[in-house]
Amino acid sequence: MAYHAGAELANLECYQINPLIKDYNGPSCAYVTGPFGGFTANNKGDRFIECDYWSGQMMLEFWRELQSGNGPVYLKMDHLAEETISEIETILHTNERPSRGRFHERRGNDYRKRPVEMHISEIGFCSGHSASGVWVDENARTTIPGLYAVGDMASVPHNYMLGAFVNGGIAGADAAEYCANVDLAAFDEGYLAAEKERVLAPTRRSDGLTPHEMEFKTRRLVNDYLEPPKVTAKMEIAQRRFAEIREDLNELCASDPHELLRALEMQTILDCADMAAAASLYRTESRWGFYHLRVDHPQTDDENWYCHTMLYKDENGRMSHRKREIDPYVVPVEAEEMAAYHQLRVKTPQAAE
Amino acid sequence: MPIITQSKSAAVVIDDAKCIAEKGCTVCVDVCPLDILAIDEGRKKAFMKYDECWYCMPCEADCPTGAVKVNIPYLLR
Repeated sequence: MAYHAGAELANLECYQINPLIKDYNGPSCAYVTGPFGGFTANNKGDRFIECDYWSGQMMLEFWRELQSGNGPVYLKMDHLAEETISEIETILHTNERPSRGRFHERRGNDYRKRPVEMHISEIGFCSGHSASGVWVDENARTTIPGLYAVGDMASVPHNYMLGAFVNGGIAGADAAEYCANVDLAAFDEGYLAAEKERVLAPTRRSDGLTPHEMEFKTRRLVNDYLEPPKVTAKMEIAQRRFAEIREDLNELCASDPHELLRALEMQTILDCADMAAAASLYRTESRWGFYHLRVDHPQTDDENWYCHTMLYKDENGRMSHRKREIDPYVVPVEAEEMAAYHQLRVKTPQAAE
Repeated sequence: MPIITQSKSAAVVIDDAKCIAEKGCTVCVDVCPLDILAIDEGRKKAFMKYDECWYCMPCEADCPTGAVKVNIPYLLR
């Protein structure tokens, strides 16, 4: 929606990819169990990363471990004391995903006896653990005057719910100030009618394609061609196939309000797929570990690419790109501290305690 | 192309004996973030209409009579 409104989006090639519980729509929560002594382990029960916190470099080491034959990767807790495991169960099975205990129980997966199998998720745009999103300044303003963005969809990395609430407060105060000084904008009645027709078009057809199958196909192509390691030739195939799906949109059908919702969401997913491919092709280097690992451009090139990449719709409606300088750090960071990101792999694998 | 329908197993199960939709209750329908539950207008009971459950469980937790049970969908069990 922000893209179509003309806002610039930052660093979309910095995908977010998560280590989730295999077959379950939820994180294994290594950062919840970490303080209690749980950790991410390979199939030998050994640690292989220094820090379980989600990042592109962490995901790169996760992926390498899978490639090496040491997979699957697990969340290991079976070495902990009974009262510690009970406490972990109480937290994990009642908070973020309350059905988690039910999922494990059905498979007989007891943390006391077996570790939790994890796997790599699909790609996504989300600043939660990456750096992608609608570009905003320190007041949460996008590049469109009067349009604000907060939360995981804004380019404010690693700020989560607390950050979203604080940023929402900042955005609200700034937006109120902005609104006090402008009148309601005039709008084009013709544009409104055309947009209404576009939105409702799937409800006017009874023969054609369903939102479910069009979404499934789009997602399948994303998984087949856009997932890292990113290969230029594969991403170009994806772009051609996405264009075919776009042509099929005039066959999209919705038989009730629920299907209309899914039809609109499917079109948004297709937009995101196109943006993921275009942004990834624009940045001709590798950066952020697994998130932007380009096989054809394996090196990090600070000389040309230590910058934000901005994706936007140009005046002809085409997806375009430009570079944007990175603002100076507010708090200086030592070079040694910056390098920690690239030293996540455990030097000498240790036996599990 | 003509559109067909296909049978699916419903992971969210409603106990009709406990469901009070006939009294106007729509709690499970209202709290579902995926919009997959509905009231059967003939039987006046809630049911899972779309196979898109994320098993997040507010429907089960908020049902005033304990009529809703969320199962992990078969493909993910």
